[in-house]
Amino acid sequence: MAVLRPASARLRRPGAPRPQSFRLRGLRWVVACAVVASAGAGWAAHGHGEYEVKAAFLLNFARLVEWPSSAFRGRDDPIALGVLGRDPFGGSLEKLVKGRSVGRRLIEVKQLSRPEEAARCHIVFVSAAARTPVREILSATGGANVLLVGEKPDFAQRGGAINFISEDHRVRFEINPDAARRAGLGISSRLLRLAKLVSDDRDPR
Amino acid sequence: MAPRCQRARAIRKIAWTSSLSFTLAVLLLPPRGDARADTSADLGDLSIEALMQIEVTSVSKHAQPLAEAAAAVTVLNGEDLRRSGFTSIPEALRLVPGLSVASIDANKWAITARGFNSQFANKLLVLIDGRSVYTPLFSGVWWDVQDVPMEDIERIEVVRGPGGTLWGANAVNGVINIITKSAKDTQGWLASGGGGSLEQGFGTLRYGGELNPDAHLRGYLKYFNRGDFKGDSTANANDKWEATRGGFRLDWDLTPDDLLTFQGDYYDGESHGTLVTGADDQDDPSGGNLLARWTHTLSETSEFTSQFYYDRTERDLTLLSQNLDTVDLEFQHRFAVSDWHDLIWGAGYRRYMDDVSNKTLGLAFTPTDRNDNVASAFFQNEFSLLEDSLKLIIGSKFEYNDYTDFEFQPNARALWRPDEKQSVWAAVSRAVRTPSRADEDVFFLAPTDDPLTFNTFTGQSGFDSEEVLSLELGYRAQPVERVSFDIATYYSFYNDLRSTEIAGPPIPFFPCPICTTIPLTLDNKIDAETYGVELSTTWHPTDFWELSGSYTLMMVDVDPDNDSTDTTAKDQEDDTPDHQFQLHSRLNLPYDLEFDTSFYYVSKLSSQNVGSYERVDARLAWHPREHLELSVVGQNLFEGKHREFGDGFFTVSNRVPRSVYGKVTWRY
Repeated sequence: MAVLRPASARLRRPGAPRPQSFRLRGLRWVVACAVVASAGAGWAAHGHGEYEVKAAFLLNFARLVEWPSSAFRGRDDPIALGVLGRDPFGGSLEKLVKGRSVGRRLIEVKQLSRPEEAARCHIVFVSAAARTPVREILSATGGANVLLVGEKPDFAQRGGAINFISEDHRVRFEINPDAARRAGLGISSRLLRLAKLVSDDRDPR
Repeated sequence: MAPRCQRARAIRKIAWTSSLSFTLAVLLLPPRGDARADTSADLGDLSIEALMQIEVTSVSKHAQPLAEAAAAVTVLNGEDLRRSGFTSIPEALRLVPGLSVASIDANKWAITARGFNSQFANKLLVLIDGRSVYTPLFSGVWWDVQDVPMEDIERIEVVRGPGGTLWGANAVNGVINIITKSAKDTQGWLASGGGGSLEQGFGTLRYGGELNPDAHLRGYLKYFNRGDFKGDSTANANDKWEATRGGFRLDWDLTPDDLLTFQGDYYDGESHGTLVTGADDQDDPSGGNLLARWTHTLSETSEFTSQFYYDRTERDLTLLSQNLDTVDLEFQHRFAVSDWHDLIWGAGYRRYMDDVSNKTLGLAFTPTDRNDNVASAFFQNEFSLLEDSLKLIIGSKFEYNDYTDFEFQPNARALWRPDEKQSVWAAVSRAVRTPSRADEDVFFLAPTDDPLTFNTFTGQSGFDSEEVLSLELGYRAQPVERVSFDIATYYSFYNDLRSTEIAGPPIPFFPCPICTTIPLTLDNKIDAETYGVELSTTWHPTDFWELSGSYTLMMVDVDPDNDSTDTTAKDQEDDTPDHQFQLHSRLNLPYDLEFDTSFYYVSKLSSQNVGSYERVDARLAWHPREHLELSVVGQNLFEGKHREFGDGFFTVSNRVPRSVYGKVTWRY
């Protein structure tokens, strides 16, 4: 017969020593109040905005995407990061990339006013305010090795390589591997692993 | 036999040495020096994984980055689940540091956080898409019916420690939140299937479609057939398990500010086992649920959610059958009072309609039918101070239930982030485990070590809530870009835990003239203290390799009241392992191959007569084409079989065998 745990028919040895137990009936509120009271002065608030985080993503994309050496003039040639459409970063992108490098390359932020300027960049961030359709930006880059990063629905399905999406207040991104391949860019597996992979929209709306 | 032992020993030695050196390497890595004052520049030092850092809703019922959680939180995402090779939710919980997950047989588990484990462990709250899967029969979870297609799981959030303020009673030692993907994220076809030695056959078919650009729907069917564990001899045990389930989910963005979700599942299964008397035990669980949720955004800083669900659970065991209907209605509203003060408040009502049919004289619930109501309300304040580097959270839940009337469960938490890469948090919280039918309504006749002596357990009406006061302290950091770690510590004080008391002198047991029964009743005469450390760390040595490890110290000190006659109370100290250690390696290889290995060490459970064991799992996967994955998974590779938990009240425990299965997954 199997031995059952709850068979507590055995009686306790009388007078068996018993460890002391802490009781905290009153103390718990003292502790709770102490935590509250320890809130000092200095009330202010400003968390990380969406675009500060997106700026940091762009820096990471620069590190995790590989351009053919022909895309640069030399080993120290900086990575040109263009922003197309009204700049939503409010200076935080410049501040973030300042003094940082990718290997030996510095990052140069440029504000682009026309899609044609995109061809001279390595990364182009197309802000939500940009009205140029993806197709036109692609034809403006004319097959140059430009990583297009967008933030509007279907940006990647329409030919952009990377598109920011938000899920439950989080910044995430889609990658269209075919679009990256067409731009002659190598995307690290680490990036692909984290991305939501999408493919070309066969029937563009 | 001898060379095999040697090999096993050698493997064990390698595993230990490598894991030890890994831990040392992580601990000895130099901390990063220049902490910049400018936080926006600091973001640039974060790895992309850190930037993506999953936000969690469990801690404060709204999305929040993990680094900002003032609690011991672990999140398993879809990728973690896919690469673990686990095929069910309870098995996947093995990955979570700070939990104790033990198989009892092929379809039964003992799962808890921070102490007090058993098949009927009652201090953990489990939710699937916001639906509580708690059974009021024993305040625990029937794990064999908590399932969804593994591919549909967006993430599993595990909060260890009391979660009573937001989640309510039963969240004494932790909350497990299983969250499935939105229908929008599961578009197209998915077909997966496979089989092997223990997992004899399984398959999932899912299709997601678009009703209109704002409404997405998915439906799935899932079947599995799990074979037997091993018995004490080399023979197979008789504990096979199979289940079929199907379900749907509709997510509809009615307007940019209104999201409607409807979802439901139906399942039917068969779970086998062996009763302690040696007889076969067959349980035919089936059930279903329907849930509707409406999330409305009032403004950028104000949002409310309203949710209703109905759940039916039917179980037909050899010893009894149970039909349970649950209806639940919840509302919560979150808004910014000022730019440094958020308030979340909510209210809910739940009704359980439980209907038991007693089948034997040895186990009975009286009354057989019982309806219970729970009404609750909560509020939680979140203050952001010192330019957001300090966060204070204060709140409480108030609950009215039919057993103990009024309960309150307050907590106070603080989180300090000296810079982007570190956070320190502390919490003081109280939670209660309200009584269940197993505390008040049960009658149970059990054999003892002495074949002529029996025990009768009788529940006690007026059973009190079990309560805990927990102190927690944690630290998270990313000292260098490729290394992050998380340490959580706790010290908890439990009062009024369930004890088994002698209710009177032994009485003759009439069917057998020379036998006696000792009448026992349930009471609240045990106090306890628990303490522990939960350490986890992740290291990316290269872009294609991820190593992660964890260590869990879980100590329980039980102290019965002076007038308690419960002599087995102390056994609970050893129902959870003192030490657990895990090491996982995930490797992306050329030719679209993935090679993943896991090592687990769990120390002994002396009260359960279970020795310490090691477990090694491995997975090799190949993606020959973009939409196709072929994988082979080996589980418990280096041990023929091991036991993880002792026999329960009713069923015997069996041994986890070595097993292998193959799987094909196709997405289109």
